[in-house]
Amino acid sequence: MLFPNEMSRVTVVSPRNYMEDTIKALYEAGVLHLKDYVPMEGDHYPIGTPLPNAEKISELLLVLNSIKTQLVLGETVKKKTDLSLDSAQKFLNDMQERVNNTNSEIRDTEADIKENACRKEVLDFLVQTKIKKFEMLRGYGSLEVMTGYVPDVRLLKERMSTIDSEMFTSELKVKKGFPAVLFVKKKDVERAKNALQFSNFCRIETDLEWKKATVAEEYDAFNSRMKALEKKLKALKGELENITKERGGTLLGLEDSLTAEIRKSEVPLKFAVSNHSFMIQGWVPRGRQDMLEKRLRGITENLYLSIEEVGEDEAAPVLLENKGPLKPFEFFLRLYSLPSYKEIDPTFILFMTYPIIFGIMLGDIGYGLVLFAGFAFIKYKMKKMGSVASVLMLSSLVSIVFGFIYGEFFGFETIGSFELHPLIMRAAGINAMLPISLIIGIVHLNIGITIAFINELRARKFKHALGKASWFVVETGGILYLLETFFKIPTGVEPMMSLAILLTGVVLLTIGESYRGLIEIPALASNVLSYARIAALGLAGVQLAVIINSMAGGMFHAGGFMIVGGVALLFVGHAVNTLLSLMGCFLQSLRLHYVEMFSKFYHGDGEPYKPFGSG
Amino acid sequence: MAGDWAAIAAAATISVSAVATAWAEKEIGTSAIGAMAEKEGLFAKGLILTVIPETIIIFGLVVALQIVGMGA
Repeated sequence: MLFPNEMSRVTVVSPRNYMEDTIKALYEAGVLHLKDYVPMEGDHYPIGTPLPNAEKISELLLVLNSIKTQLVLGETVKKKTDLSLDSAQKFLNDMQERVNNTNSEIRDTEADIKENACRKEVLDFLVQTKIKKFEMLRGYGSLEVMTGYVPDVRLLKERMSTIDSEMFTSELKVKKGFPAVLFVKKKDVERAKNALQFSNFCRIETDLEWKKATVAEEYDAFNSRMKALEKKLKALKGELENITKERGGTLLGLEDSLTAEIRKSEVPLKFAVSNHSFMIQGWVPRGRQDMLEKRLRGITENLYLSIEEVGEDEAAPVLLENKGPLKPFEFFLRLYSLPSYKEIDPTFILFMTYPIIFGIMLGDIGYGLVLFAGFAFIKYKMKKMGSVASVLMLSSLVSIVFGFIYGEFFGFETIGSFELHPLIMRAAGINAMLPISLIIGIVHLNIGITIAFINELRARKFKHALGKASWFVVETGGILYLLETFFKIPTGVEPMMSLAILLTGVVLLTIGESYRGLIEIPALASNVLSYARIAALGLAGVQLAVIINSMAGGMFHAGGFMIVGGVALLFVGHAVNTLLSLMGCFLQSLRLHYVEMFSKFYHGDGEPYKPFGSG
Repeated sequence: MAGDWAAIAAAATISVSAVATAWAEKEIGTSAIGAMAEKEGLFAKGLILTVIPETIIIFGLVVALQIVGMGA
């Protein structure tokens, strides 16, 4: 709980003919976090090459992915598969062929349907103009046929009045206009085209390849062809679904097993190899080292295996170890960065102080209840947000407690008939909460400095530890001096004494942390002031609630229709205020931890523990 | 009379602090969104960094309240 999981450094050297067995054993054990071997200047040994089947597995994975993109696998249940490479290849090639063929046929059919639909438009036109036979539109020696839609028949007749032509127009107006068919002498075609352009004639090409003689027959043919095409499309899509149902599960299972195989095949890139042997380095959690040793020695006795303690300043991977209610707070650490291996794991501090600071800022029974219910629901519905939801559920409970201290229930001081007796009146002004916030700040920061002190002691950096401890001296001197001179509170210590203590602290600080420590003294003051946001956010929240309530109260007094408005205002206003308070308190409390407190002791940059295995 | 000037002073304090905070958060927020477009996982870090300038407006609020208290 206080520290990340303890690790041991592992070194394995073994003859090359045992490499595949070793890889298999390590993968199944799944506990060794590998250290990448990076050859430096002057190193004799190169990294290993991937196992021989790596190329083939990569190809199979490519084929698998291309199949995956063509199918809709949403609900498919993974089926655990154990195929050999050859049978996997046969399965995938066969499936790819079927899927590709079906898909290209689907595309062809869809193109046909589109083309057919275009023809329908022309057929509709012909029906509108009452042209019954196709031969009426073609085969003329001296006449040109022009077909299309025109928005204004009178305009057309006017424009065409000077040209000798036969015009058939329909009175039936459709979306595109009035259908019109014109027969013009071939020598007048150019003039006719001009006239048509001026009448906004929209041409339709009717000289397509028609199979039948009459329009009616063609229409029937069109309908039956359309039906056939659509039936074919449905059948093809059904076939695709069948393939998915039959083989989708196996496909996903195969993906998993192939991915595992490729990981095993490519891991020699992390080993150092010589002509006859190979070396693996990594870390294993202390508790699992015996199991790992047994597995490795089970392969062969010709094995050099050394398991030793992690050295000082070694960047071992970090596996956080927190149980029960502390575990959700690891989420905050993953968001920021994991602690380095030797540091104290601050999760337990977050568990203790985050809900309290959140609760002090929110401090309303009603809002706390609403948030608690909301996050309980989210935790039940969305497993992914489980840890955030747990953190906020705990924080909402603390807010309810502080709601009782402040006497706020949705901004009111009474719950129905039950009167709340506030210990601190927040709505009166900022002066009630400001000193409390600053004191919280000082306490919180000192917790951080204490942790820093302990970390430096553990790392045996005694000078730095002295530097950290000297902060306490500086603070004592500073606070005593300020209390005497600025706040006029008698402390029993003369101002000269407190200045002397302050100076001693500064000197110790310079010894412990040199000039960087001195620069941090004003930073300490600014950090403490930053905690004033606890008072400010709380005040903003409660004032907003009070304003909503008084406005709604006014609306209730006006009576009549305004009562409905008042209820709506209460509902919407408090909903908005809840969300604003939630966002503000969540972010600001987190920021106080990340920026103010962590800057006192946190190194961070820990590498997460990712063991080689199926995890 | 003092109360009137105190009110104007408080208003000026809050307004200028708010403009400063908004400007700062705008710059940071824009960069955060740009970074997120390349890597979705940066949302949480980006959000935290964007909210860092809140301190400015909170201090402005505290000062404004003190001014109003003085003027009353």
